[in-house]
Formats: sequence, structure tokens, C-alpha cells
Amino acid sequence: MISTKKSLATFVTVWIVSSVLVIAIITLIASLYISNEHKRNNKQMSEQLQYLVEVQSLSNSLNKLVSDFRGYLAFGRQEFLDATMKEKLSFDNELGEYSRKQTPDDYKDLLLRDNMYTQENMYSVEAIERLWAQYSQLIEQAIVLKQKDEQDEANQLSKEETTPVINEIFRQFNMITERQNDNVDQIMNENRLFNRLLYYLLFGFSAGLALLGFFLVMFMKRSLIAPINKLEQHVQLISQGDYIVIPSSGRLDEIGQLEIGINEMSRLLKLRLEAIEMSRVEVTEQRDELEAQNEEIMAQQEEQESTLLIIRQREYLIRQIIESIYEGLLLCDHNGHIILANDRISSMLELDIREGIQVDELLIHIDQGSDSSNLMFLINDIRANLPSLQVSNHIQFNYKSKNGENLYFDLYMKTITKLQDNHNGYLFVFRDRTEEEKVNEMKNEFVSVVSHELRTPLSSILGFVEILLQREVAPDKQKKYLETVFKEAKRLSNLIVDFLDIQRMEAGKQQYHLSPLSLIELMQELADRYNSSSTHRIHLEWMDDPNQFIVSGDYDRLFQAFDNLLSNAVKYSPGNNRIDVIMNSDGNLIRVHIKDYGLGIPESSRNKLFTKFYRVDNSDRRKIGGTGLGLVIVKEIIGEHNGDINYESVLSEGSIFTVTLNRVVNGSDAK
Amino acid sequence: MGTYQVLLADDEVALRFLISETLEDEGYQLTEVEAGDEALEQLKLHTYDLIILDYMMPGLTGIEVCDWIRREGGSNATKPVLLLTAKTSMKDKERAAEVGITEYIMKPFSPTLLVQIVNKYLPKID
Repeated sequence: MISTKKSLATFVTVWIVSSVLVIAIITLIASLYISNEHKRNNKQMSEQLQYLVEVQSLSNSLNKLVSDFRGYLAFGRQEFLDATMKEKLSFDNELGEYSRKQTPDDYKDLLLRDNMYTQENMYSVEAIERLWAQYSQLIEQAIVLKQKDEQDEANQLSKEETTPVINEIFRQFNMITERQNDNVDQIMNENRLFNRLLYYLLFGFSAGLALLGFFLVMFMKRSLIAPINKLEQHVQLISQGDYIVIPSSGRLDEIGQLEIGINEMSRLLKLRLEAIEMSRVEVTEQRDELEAQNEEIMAQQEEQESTLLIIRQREYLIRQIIESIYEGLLLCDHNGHIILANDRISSMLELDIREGIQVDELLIHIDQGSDSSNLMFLINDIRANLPSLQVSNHIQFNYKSKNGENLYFDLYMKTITKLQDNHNGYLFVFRDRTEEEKVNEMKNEFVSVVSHELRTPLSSILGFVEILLQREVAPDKQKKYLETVFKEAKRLSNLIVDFLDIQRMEAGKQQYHLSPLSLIELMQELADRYNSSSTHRIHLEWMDDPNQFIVSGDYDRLFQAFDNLLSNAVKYSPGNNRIDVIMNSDGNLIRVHIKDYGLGIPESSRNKLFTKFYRVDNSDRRKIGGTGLGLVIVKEIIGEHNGDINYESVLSEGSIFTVTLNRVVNGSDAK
Repeated sequence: MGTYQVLLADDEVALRFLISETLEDEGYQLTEVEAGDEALEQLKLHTYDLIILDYMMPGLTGIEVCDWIRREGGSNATKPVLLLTAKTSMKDKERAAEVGITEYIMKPFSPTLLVQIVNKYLPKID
């Protein structure tokens, strides 16, 4: 509502402008008037001064005239006369002009010259004119007289007539001058008055302005500054957060508008603030929510990470297992593509087996290195029946390695249903059983050796008995045959016994019943048996106290061991029938030395002497026979007694076998 | 016409005794050695009509001796070689066949059977 709204600015402006205008106008008018008057005065003054000058000039001219006239009169020179005439003429003109100026032309001028001096001057001028006329005449008379040379008359005329006239003229001139001077003075006074008025006017104007300014300030203070200060305070409060409402002063001007505006602003600010606060609260809530969600997510992530870690560790573990096992592992998909292969399978088969290779092609490769036929069957089966092949079986094949070694493998195959995306997968496990085969071979070898060892004496036995049964044989031959049969049968029997002993010992089923026994007694019994029946003489001797030779042992087994040693000693010294058995004790140990003076043992046999079926490779010895198991048994038995067996030998001189056993002290084991 | 010469290589005393008794009774002349290398020595020196080898012998085995006979045996190269053995596996028999063993005789064997086999290769001339 612009029309009803009063504007302070307008108000103030109007007031200021009008005040200033009023003052200005007043001042203007006043100064115009004063200036006018001033001008008039000045004009008047200059006029008067002009008149003064003219009067002075007239006076001077007259003076000069008079002087020249008097000079002529006195001296009668022509130039005085000329000058006088000239000056008389010019003065005449001058006066005429001056008079004319003094006479007002019209009423306007009359009004203007409406002062007393002017009027009086007019009378003077008139007087002067009359007087001049007189004087002129007189001068002319004088001059005529002078020309006539009537000097005295001239002089008299001059003195009596002209001089008083001149004096009177001069007097009039003086009066005019005085009056002019007075005029001028008057005018000057008027001027001064006007000047003073002007000063007063200026002063008044300034004062008026100052007053106006003062009122303005007061007004402003009241109307503008005070309310603005108040507003400012309020704004200050608002800015500090106190959204107060300014009491309205009811004014309709700018201040009023400002109040309204500030109130509105304050109200809006308050609203905004509240809105912000609300949204802040909302935001905080949302943020809390988000934080909570975030925490959840992080927790999930952590879980996932730890799960992932577990999975990775698992994968690593599984991978380690796959790579560490002794078997070669192959996994292929339903199309026969290999999807997993451990390093072992590549090294095992000396091929570069990687993911992506076709499994049947790999098998063909393997087949090329093998002379087993079952690989081909497998390959054909795979080619025919993949991807729906159901298999869980096991084949064996051999395989030639690059360095010519014969290797043996087990191959286990299994279908894994739903390995990937509902398709089958196939697991191939290759096991290197070369070692087992070798062991088998060794066992077979062993069996065949045993079988050979068993069959050989059996051959002789059966053979001779067959001959004896089939035909007539001379009695001496008969005897020989039967002796051979007996010997071989015995040998066979020993072999079987020894062999079974070894088997039992090796199976760990041989039981040893240990108890304290006297080695001397044992050796004595053995020696007696040999001495009574065999071809050799056993010479037994011991050093030290017989009680030193107590050992903890199994009597029968130790008997068997020493029996074997003695039997060997006897067998392998065909040329000498003396066997020495020497026993001595050495701290906690007992040593039994069995010394023969026979064939001796070559050093090359040392490694194999105590192995199964080993007999020294020499035709002399082969003749002697034996099972080759005796020393094995001895070693086994002595070993079970925590003892030790060793030998020294010199070829063709004999051997000493030394058994070391632990002594028993006072009935307890001093091991 | 003399008697047939037979070379016998076996490290077992009893067996040698058995075989020599059996074959000498049939009229064959036997030379006995105890080891494969000895057999080789004999084969290098003499020509025999029949050779009987034990499989398991010290030094060279019967198989190895036969192998030598067939390759470098000279006059003995084509003579019948009998192998006495307790080895029963197919592989051993195949191996024997490979080296040219004429007959593979399993222990224990019947002396009568041995005589029959020997007679087969050394027919009696009446």
C-alpha cells in the first residue's frame, strides 16, 4: 500500500528541500535586493564621483582660464589671449555639458535623483551658468579694453567686476563639490549599510542552516537514529539467536517497513532454524541408522572376510594336501577336460600334465609307455561313455620310465556326480606301487629261492629213492645212496626248521623267556655234545671268575645261536679239527670268542654274511652246503638279547666270531 | 662210435651224484663241474653231445651259460641243453626259451624222466 505508506526519506527530503529552498529563496531575494541597492549605490556613487571630477575639471579649466586671462591682462601676450579664448570656449562647452547632465530628462531620472543635493546642485549649476555668462561678458569687455590698451580699465574691470564673479563661481563650484562629497559620503554610508546587511544576511542564512541542521539532527535522532539503534540492538539479539519480535511502533515509513522486515526475517529465521533443527535431528537419526547399518555391513564384511579367510585357508590346506600326497591326482569334467592336476602326477609319469588336456589323450600317451592292455579298455570305455560314465574301479598297469626303469601303477577311478553344474566329474588317482612290486618281487624271489633250496635236497632224496625202488642196486651203492638220502633229508629238515624259525622271528612271534643263566654251563653242554659226536674237538676256556658269566637270556635260543656258530666253525674248517671257545668278561660285558682254523671268510662277503641264504660264493664252500640261514638266526637271537656279533677272519687261516652279551650282576640286569 | 659225452653243471653234491649215477648207468659219459664258469671252460675245450645245467649256480647261472653256448658255443652251440631248476614262473620259462634251452626240467624230478629226455636227444644206437 504505497499510497498510505509514509516515507521517512520523502518526509525528510521534502522538509530539507523545502527548508533549504525557503531559506535560499529568502536569502536570494534579500541578496538580490541588497545587490541591487548596492549596484544602484555604486552607480550613483560613480555618477557623483564623475560629477565631482567634472566639477573639478571645470574648476581647473576655469582656473586656467582665469590665470591665462589675468596673465594676458598682466602681460598682454597673444598666447595668453589665444589660450584664454580657447579655454573660454572649451569651458563653455564643458559647462554646457555638465549642466545638461545635471538637468533630468524625464521623471524617471527625477525620481532617481531624488535627493536634496541633486536639487541644490541644479540651482548651483544654474547659478554658475548665470555667473559664467556674466564673466564671459566681462572677460570679453576686459579683453577689448586690453586690446584697446586700456590697461587700467581692464584691470579695474577685472578687479571689481570679474574677480567677484569668479570668486562666486568658485564658491559655487566648492559648494557643488561639497555637496557632491556629501552625496558621495551619503552614498558610501548607504553602501556600508548595505554591506553590513549583506553580512547579517549571510550570517542569518548560516544560522538558519545551522538551526535547520540542528533540527534535522534532532529530528533524525528521534525519528531515525534512535529507532535504528533500537533495531540494531534487536538485530544483535536476533543474530545471537534470540528471535524476538520487535514491538511495532506503528509507523508506516521506512523504519516501520524495517521493523516489519526484521520481524519477518526474525520469524523466518526462527522457522528456518526450527526447520534446520528438525532436519538436523532427522539427519542425525538417519546418520545413526546409517551408522548402525554400516556397522552391520562391516560386521558382515568381517564375517565374510573371515569366512573368505577360512575358505582360503581351507583351499590352501586342500591344495597343500593335494600337492603333498604321494598319489597323482587328476580331476576331469564331463567332457574329459582335465580341471585339476597335482604336480605329483606329472612327475610320476614324467609327462607335463596340465588343466585343459583331454584325459583320454593323456591315457593314450601313458598307454604308449606301457605294455598293459587294460589301459586301452579304459580309454575306449571313456570315449564311448563320457559324460554319463559311471565308474568306480581300479586297474593296474606298468610303465617304462625315461631312464628305462620299470614302474608299476595302480589307477583308481571314480565318477563324482554333480561335480559342476549338475554334470559329472571323474577322479583319477594314480598310485606308484613300484616299491610294493619290488618288495613283491623280492618276496617272490625269496620264495623262489626258498623253494629252490627246499626242492634241491628233495630232488636228491626223491631221485635216489626212486632209483632204489625201481631197480636192483648193488649193496655198496645202496649204502651210498641211502647216506646221501639221509644227509639231504637232514639238510632239508634243518632248512625247514631254520626257515620257520626265521619266519617266526621276523613276524615278531618268537618268544624269548629270559632268566639268569650261566654261559659257562651252556657252552659246556654244547662242547660236550660236539666233542662226543662230531669230528672236531671243542676246547673251552674262560678267564676270570666263572660267576662273572651270568647273563639274562633264553637258554634254548642262546643254545641254538652258539650251536649254529659252532656248526659253522666245524663245517668251514675241514682241514683242522680244533675249535677254541674263549670267554672273558670286560666290565659289564661278556665276550665269547669262537675260533676256527679253517677256510676263513673273504672280506667281500662281509656285507652279506648275515643275510638270508647267503653262502660264500666259492666252489669249495658250496660243496660244504648249509642253509645260508644260520648266521641270520644267530644275529636275530643275539640281537634280541641286546648283544652284538662280529667276526674277524683271515683267508685260509680261520675265523673268530665274537658274541658280546650283557652281564647280570647280583641277579639284576646291568644293562 | 663212442659213448655220448654229457656235461653236467650243478653246485649241489647230492644232485650231481644222483644224475651221474642215473646217466652213467645208462652208459653216458659224464663230465661234472660245480659252477657256470667252469662249465664254460669245459665247453671251450671239448665238444659235448648234451649239456645239463642247473639254473642257480655260483658265478654264471644256467641261463647265462646256455646263452653263451648258443652264441659262442662253437661246436657246442647247437647241442641240446637241459635246464634243471626249481623256478616255476612263466617268466623264467620264457627266459629259458629265449636263450635256447632245449628242455626245462623242474626239480624235484624223476630220474626216470631225466633218462627218457636224455635218450630222446641221444638216441641209443643199437
